[in-house]
Amino acid sequence: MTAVVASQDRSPGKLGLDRDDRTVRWLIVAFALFFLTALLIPLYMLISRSLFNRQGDFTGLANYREYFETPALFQSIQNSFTVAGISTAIVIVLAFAYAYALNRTCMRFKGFFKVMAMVPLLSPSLLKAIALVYWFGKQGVLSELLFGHSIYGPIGIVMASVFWTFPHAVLLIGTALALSDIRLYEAAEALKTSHTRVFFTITLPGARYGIISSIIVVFILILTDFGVPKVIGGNYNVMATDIYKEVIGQQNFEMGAVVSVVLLIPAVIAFAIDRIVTRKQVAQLSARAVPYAPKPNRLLDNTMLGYCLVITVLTLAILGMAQYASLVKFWPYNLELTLEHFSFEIEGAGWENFYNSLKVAVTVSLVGTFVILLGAYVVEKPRRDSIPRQAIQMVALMPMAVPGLVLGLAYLMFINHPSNPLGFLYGTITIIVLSTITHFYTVTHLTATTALKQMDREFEAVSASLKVPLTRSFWRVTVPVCMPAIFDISIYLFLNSMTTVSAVIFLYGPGTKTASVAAIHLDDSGETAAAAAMAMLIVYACIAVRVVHAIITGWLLHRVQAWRRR
Amino acid sequence: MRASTDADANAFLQLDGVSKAFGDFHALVDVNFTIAEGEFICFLGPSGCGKTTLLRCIAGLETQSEGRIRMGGADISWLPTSERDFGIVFQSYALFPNLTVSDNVAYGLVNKRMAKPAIKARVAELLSLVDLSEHISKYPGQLSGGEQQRVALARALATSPGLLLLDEPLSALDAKVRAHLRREIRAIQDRLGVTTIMVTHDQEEAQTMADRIFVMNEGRIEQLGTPDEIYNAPATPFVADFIGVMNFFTATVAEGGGVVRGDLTLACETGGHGEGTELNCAVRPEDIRLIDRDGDDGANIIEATVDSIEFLGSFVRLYLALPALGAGELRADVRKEQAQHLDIAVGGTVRLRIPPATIRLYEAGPPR
Repeated sequence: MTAVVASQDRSPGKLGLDRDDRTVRWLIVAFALFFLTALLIPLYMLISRSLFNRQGDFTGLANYREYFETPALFQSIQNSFTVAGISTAIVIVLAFAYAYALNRTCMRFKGFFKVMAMVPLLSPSLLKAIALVYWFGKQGVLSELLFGHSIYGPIGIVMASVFWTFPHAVLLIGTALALSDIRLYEAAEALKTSHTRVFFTITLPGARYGIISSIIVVFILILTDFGVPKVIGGNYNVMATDIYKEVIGQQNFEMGAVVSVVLLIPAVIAFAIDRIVTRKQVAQLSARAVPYAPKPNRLLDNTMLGYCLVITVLTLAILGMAQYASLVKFWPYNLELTLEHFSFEIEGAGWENFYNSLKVAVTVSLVGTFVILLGAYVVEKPRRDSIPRQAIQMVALMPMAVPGLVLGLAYLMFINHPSNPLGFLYGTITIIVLSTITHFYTVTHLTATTALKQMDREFEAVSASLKVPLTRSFWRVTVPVCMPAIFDISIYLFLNSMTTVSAVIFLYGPGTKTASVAAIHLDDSGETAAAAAMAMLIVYACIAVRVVHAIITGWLLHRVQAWRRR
Repeated sequence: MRASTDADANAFLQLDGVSKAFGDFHALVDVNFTIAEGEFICFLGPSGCGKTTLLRCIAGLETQSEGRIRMGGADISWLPTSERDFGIVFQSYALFPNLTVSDNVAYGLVNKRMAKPAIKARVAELLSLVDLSEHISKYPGQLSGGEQQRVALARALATSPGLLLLDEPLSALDAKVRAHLRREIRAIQDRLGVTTIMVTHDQEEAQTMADRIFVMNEGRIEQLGTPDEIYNAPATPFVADFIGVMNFFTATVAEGGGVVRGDLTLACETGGHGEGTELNCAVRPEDIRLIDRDGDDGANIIEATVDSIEFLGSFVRLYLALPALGAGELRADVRKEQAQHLDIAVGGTVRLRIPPATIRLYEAGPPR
């Protein structure tokens, strides 16, 4: 009771702080510093740089005027939106049918097709572009199918974009289709509604938020993607490649900043719409809904089986061609198989790129998961509401709206600023890790928050009443209970760190170039086979880690966490 | 009105003028009470009446906007939760799903730097108290709802807190389990003598378990008293209406005592109310007596038509129409045998008597 007596003269109006409140307060300070350094200051520097000229004088919107008056640059905006629009339309239709087959039919081999849909996630987007060049390029296997059109340009960008964004769309639409109340369908059946009418009045409206959400996400992914247009875009310029050319080619940071801001605007708008839409989807389904269970329908099931097979074959054709490209001695003149492309005896490329990628991916996966879980905990769990906590939640949602290339350029300006004490980090693994964690922060943060939300709201109250410190409850209860989400986050971070190009391409230094960036450079210098080999190394690592991850997850969830079994 | 802020020497827990506002919404308005050590108290009221907010203020999970909370003589108004002395049980159990029953119960003990054998002995003692000794190494997910709630109770009691807070602990359970746990919780409380506050919206639960019931409505305590007082002498129309079933009708004080409404005159004790005052009259259905057609001629004998009949097991409830009150306005409970004996049927007439002593009068105005 000593504490009680000591508190007598505490000033009224505010609850006293205990150890847990102080812990949370320190964490909030730490996260505020993290987001300032890792996101807000760099972004601020990028945006302000677009308002200065090369000599460092403030020129207001002069750069923007110049940008919109340069026909070549202005054309890129139109190009970006055209390819993103067409690719999105195609991907959504294809992915909806695929997700429908997985969630709403009694098609056989669903498990297999679920896995196959995710295969493109295991490789960088540029790998799809390289494979397409082998299929449809000047010396490609099926070039005739393009009727004289070149794969380099919009056609190639659209095809490659469709391939690499397909799994994202299937995941998002699939989630929306999985959430459905069977009683709506039973009611429709009782009212003798035709199948077509059921589809258009129940199925589509039910999934509309998922569809809108996936349209937005896919559109932004393609609009801001750099790897695909870099490899297969040819002379067809898009905004992402413009940023790269301005900064790397012409050292024109100011114009790079202008294009970045122009690219940032649609991304921010789209992301804001997506957040509103997502919130609606959650509210749509009541807790009492009875999940939909499809009934067998031979015609539908077999048609869908055929469709999914075609998609799977196409997916494998891309991966297979990349594999083949990495093994063929000299396409298309010498088709002998060889491993020599994997020796990378080329200036500026080598196995060390692959090791760097592994280093980055492992660090991001370990450190990032911990940071993200902790951040979500600070936002979600403390009992006291505070403005700083809500601010952290808002900032945590921002990275999703920032294209990787823009983030990378912002980091570059931040780290190279003469008065930045962190300047020594330039070109280190640390800065690559930091940018990658920030780049993929939002999705993982949302996964972590969802997992924490599913825990009993009163755990913290119970712990406090039992005088158990927050830190102990965190390790003893929160972490074990959130283990599945933690695994999901760590694998997501690993795969994305391995395959990402955009932010890293501005940040690597001598000795820290990653495999995906090296693949871009190899392709750039005409070493396409070596580029394919480098990209395949990433694929091997991703597959290996995915398999090991599945085994460990299965083992941990079924052996160690016996309490999950009822 | 703000009550005195002096500490009551006999009070274990004392609240003085506690209010809580969420923006414009007043969740608690000037709550004052004292609780003696060892009492079992129920906060009873409809959802949104502020009972859970009050409990959470006592626990430090919410902060009162105004007022003081004293416990054991000390002012705890501004103490954080972790420095207050209580154990708490929630409706959702809030058991840690990844810990065994024994680890859940030991959760607060481990922190007290107790020796391992001592912890083990204490856990065993608590689990035998809640009759769960055979489930010691199971996980919460393997237990039934009632068993989980008993584990939560054991966990809350493990550190021997001075105050036990129960937040709708039985609401998520089946009727039978609930009835069983009521008795069990009360027996444990009697045995340990721990001061207990339970929040509930179930009047039966409050009446069977509590020493005293605090009936709450719109952030205020309407009445505090024993279950008997609350039922038999409800202080306000709200309490009268919320506890049990009650007939309400308005009437004016008649010349020379009693009340009158239309052609209906009822004898009753009108207290100090002057003639012509409009009052709210309340009568419990079970207090209305049905009498034979040629039965005795006491006071307040009325004839009424039976509108409808509800079968409620050991008794039937008649919805009666009286010219002065309107159709179905008056409910009367009749034992099954008497109903058969009187041959009651829908559309028939009955003779009934309302004993004057059973009529309660409140200042006019609809029950809140």
